[in-house]
Amino acid sequence: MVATPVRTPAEQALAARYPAERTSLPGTADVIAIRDAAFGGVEKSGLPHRRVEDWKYTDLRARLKTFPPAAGPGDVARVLIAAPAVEGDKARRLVIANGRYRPELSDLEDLEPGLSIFSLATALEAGDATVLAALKLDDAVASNTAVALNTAFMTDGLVIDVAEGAEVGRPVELVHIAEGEPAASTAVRHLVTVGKAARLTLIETIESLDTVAHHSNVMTVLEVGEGAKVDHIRLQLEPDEAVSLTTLVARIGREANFDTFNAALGAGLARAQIFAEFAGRDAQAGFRGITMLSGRRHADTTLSLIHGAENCQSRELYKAVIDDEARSVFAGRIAVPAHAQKTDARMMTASLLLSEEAEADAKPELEIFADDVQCGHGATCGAIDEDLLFYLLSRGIPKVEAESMLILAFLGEAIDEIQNQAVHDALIHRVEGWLKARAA
Amino acid sequence: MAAVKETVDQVLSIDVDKYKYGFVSDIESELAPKGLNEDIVRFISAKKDEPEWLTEWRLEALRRWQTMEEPTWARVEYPPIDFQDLHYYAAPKKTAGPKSLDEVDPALLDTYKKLGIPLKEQEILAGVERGERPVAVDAVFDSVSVVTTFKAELAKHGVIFCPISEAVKTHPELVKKYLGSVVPVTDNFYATLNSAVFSDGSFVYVPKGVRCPMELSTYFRINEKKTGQFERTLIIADEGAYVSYLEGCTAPSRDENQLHAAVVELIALDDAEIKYSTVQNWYPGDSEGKGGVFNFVTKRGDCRGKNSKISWTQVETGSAITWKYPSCILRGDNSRGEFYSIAISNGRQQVDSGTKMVHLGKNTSSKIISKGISAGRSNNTYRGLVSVGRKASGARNFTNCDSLLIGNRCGAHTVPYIESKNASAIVEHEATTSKISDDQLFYCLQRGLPEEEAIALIVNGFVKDVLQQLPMEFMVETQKLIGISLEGSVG
Repeated sequence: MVATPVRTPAEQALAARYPAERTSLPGTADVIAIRDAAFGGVEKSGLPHRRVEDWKYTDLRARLKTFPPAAGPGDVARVLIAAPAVEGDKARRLVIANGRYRPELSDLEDLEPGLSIFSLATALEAGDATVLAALKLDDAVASNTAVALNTAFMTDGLVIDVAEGAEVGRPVELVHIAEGEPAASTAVRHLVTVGKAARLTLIETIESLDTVAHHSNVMTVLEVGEGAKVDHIRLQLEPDEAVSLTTLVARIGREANFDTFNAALGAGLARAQIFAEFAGRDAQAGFRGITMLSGRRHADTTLSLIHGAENCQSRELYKAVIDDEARSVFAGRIAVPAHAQKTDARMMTASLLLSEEAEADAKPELEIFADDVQCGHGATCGAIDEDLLFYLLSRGIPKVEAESMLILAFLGEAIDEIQNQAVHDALIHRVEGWLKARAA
Repeated sequence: MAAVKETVDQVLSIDVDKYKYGFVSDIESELAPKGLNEDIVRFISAKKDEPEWLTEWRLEALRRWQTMEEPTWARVEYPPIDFQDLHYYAAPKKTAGPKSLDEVDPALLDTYKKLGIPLKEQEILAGVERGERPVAVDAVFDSVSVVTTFKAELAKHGVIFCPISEAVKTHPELVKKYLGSVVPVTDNFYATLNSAVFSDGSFVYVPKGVRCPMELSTYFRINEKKTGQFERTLIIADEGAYVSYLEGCTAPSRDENQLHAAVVELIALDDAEIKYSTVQNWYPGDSEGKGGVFNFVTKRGDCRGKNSKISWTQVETGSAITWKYPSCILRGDNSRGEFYSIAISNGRQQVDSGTKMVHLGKNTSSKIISKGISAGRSNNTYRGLVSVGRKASGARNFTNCDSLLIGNRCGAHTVPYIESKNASAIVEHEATTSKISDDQLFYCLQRGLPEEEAIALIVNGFVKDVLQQLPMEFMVETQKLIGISLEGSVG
């Protein structure tokens, strides 16, 4: 029984767009071949639906109503005056407006020694061998629908290299801005390589200047070298109308130290995917994030971590606050192959439901083949603790304020792990703003 | 500790071969021709002298099954099953309605004697004098029930305990009302197959307010080769009733795989309680993974009434492949579901088991304690769902699943699904995977315990939560089983 899939409007739009755009997208014939293969996979299977295990709780076929056309260049003047998402972090801002890297809007002065930044589009046009090699992904990652769509439609992005031993003092901030009407879609790919014993703080912000149904697809491929220390933070801040797909692919080298934090604060439909792998022994990594949802928003965090080397340690902590009719999804999978002895992993997810109509789904999965390991996972889901609330009320604190305090404390456990003070403060500020709006 | 590990492997590899129930009884059987089609279903139905409605029910299931595809989502691998190369009915020849035990084929009685299952009531009563409690037993051999003990004693209390094939004739109204009401005919591939060809199993009805005076037990035995056993069990506890039911199973060691696709339905009405315990010890195959029983089972309990309770306890040590998720549908307000499981896998066994707790009623609560132990080259997966519906205010779930790995050629996996649609519900899940802690072991060793004993002690502590839930009859056997499975596993 091979059923002919009924094509949704979004699938039809995709099928019409790709043939029309494939040759005008940046890249040599080799790049077109890679794009063709990626799109072929999506076209064959269609958009994933709830029967596809990886998308069980985020039915893309049902939820994607349309797939808008590619974004135009956008109004540079408006992008120029947009307020930065994070104040006072002294970051080196690199602007990607409507899927295009804008060096003229970016801060490229006094690049630290060992730090190099150039455009992906240029590299694709030149057929740069290193960049082409970096487009190759493991099958499991490459076949993922969000990744495949990114490969097929990517217009630009940044290729960032931090040389061996280089310490990049200023954080590098990738500022993604969507500008203009009507709704459009963008696909951006970044390739970041951090050399042996180098240091980098990488911040990504994704926002939109207009409240229309922009689709953004941002993917970052990160190579963390031996003994390197990398801090990665992503703030996803789009308006409720938007659709936001993000992917992080991280390979963590021997003795490296890696942290990633995802703040899902925006978009009506958001999915943050992380595919991480320990490629060398004795490394450490932290995977954390918060999700704040209201209205009818839907946010999905999907983490796949391969603990592929001996004696690596990881900590996963994801917290979600869900109000109104919103729905939060967490799917985490830790795989420990037989040779990865002495693995130590702790995965925790907690959801706070603030309304009768809210929904939380969690699937914290462990797959273990090594016997000398410590792996644990926990999941909780519930309302605000009555006893804690009562304690605060009995101290004369109004209910709404008491609730806000408890929610902030709940999320704070994850947020406090962010080492960059400016980002930490900016995030707390946004959480407080969200709580104020809720209380009003 | 490479050398020691080798010893471990050696001992563990002997382990699956230690299966002591692997003998074949030489009993003449009557077999249905191989294959599955409408004629076979009619043949089975006719053999059991079933009413027309049941034959139709089976045929409808068959037609449905023919359009279904085998599920592949579980973490198990096996060669494709040729469903047309199996006998769907096998029965010992001389069993046509024995009036008493004296008429039962002595070879059959011998088989059960060897298995240690008491079928003679006197023997069991003698047991009482030795301080053991009597257990009523329904013995199912391949496709038919050969004997059910203590029927008269149970009838005094109004408890109906008989083979389901007999219940169809004696209590058609009850069977018709409840059969397929928990696991619908169309539920899943194996449940539908079972509905088409189910052979025998137990039927239990405990009337209002009755506390069943003794443990009820069914003992399943697959003997014939190239057969599938399709057990169907239906247990109904009417308002305020209580019943505890035990199930045991074994099969001979054969090179080819045998199929066991059972459906068990439990129904608890207002204030009723059902306790269902299983010691599953089907033939696990040899150390190379040859042979063994494919155990594809659908077990589900429906807490239909208020304040009802269903509790599943399982000890899984056998079967080449286990695919089994005893579940509770918590429909009635304040109803409670429990799932206690120990799954031990060894050799090349594959276990994919867990539970589903579906909270629909208000103030429903559930508890899941699952302990998986993997050794050899086995794979042991816990797969579970906790779902809280919109209306299930005040629902409460606690889940704890731990895995223990012995050796590094086995796998332990945890796949929990948590879905909450109600803010006042509290769902907690915790899971750990580890090896026996060096500290614990060291503590025992420095108290003078030999290493093997220390490991057994730690493992017994690890599974204690579940063992305590088992009826006494099973506790002793299970503790022994765990002993066997872990003998020599120093490392």
